[in-house]
Amino acid sequence: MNDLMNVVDENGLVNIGHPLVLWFPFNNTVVPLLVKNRRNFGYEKFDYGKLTGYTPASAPATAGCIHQQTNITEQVFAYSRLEPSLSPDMFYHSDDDTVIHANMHVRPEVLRIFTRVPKGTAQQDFRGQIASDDLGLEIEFGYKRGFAELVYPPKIKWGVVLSNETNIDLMTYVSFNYAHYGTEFISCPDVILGILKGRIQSHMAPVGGNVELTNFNEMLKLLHAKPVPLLPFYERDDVSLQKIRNALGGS
Amino acid sequence: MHVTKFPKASWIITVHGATDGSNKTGAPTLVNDFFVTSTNTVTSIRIPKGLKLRILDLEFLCGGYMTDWRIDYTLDITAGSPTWVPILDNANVQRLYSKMQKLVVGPSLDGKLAIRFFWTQVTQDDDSKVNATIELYEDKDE
Repeated sequence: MNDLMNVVDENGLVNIGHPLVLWFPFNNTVVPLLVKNRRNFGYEKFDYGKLTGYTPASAPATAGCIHQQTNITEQVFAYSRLEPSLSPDMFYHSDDDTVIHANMHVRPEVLRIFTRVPKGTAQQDFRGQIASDDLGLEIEFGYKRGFAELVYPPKIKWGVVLSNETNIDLMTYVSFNYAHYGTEFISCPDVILGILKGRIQSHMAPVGGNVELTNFNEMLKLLHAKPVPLLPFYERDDVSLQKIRNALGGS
Repeated sequence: MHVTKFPKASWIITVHGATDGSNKTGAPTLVNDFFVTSTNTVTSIRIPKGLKLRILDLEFLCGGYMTDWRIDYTLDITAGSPTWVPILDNANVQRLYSKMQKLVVGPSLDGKLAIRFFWTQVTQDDDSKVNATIELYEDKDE
């Protein structure tokens, strides 16, 4: 049984009443949000199916198939059952105080998964070397296999690139465990301090990599949020508290 | 703060192959629901760099005639004529089955490691079969 006292449930999704901390590595700030509700609580499974938004240009031109030794072009998750404005990218939204948290499972699990936030940018780099699409088969870093955590605050698009290093033309199958959160920005400096110092349980989810997010300010506006810098654990509380107050615009 | 930690990648599949009835030796075409074989048939499995392969279950079936099944590996599947080296051979069936559960191939050092199944028959038939459950996986210490 799901224990609501835990920060996350068995699917890695944040339970109601707990903080979700969005972490933006490009500027090393966080946005702490209270998860006020989960619209689909108990119904987290989303069997998306084959990645049919992609069809190879050459034979076998089977939708959802990734040829051996190739990368696919960057994908979002289209879903034709939605109304036209939503269907091209089913998780992208512009709703205020809303975050969609999707833990993605890509089969076959041997495929490399490169996530792109903002969409269209290769944000993972190693000392200046970018894990770009054309290096998808051979690059030594910047990918995962099997699973990836995708967190969609408002106005933020994710792209996904998959690479097939095997010698087999492989069909894909994608499923999600997702949660549609209603959120509230945590604006109390003492609570933020407790979260950042680990005294209050929270779940931290990275959004993007080393590339600045487009729409970052619009996202903050829709979340009614202000970014707070990550603070050293060892720092004295009164010093940290002042930094948090400064970030929030208080004194 | 809690962060998501996903399990190591593990892809478990069962593949099926059979002799073709026209050749006394050969590598069977392997089938599985994830394999798209309308253009390219699958006669070997290339292991991505850093991953290992293990055989979780294995069944060699002889049809009308005795069939010597074996498992081969090559270090370079990209070579024009890969050099295949036997790992397991059912010439001694008892030995094969006692070692089967321990068979781990890899990790693939450069992404060119591959395995295949291979048959040898004195008289060809088309109903000798191999059924194998295979796992391609990231080891827990990697």
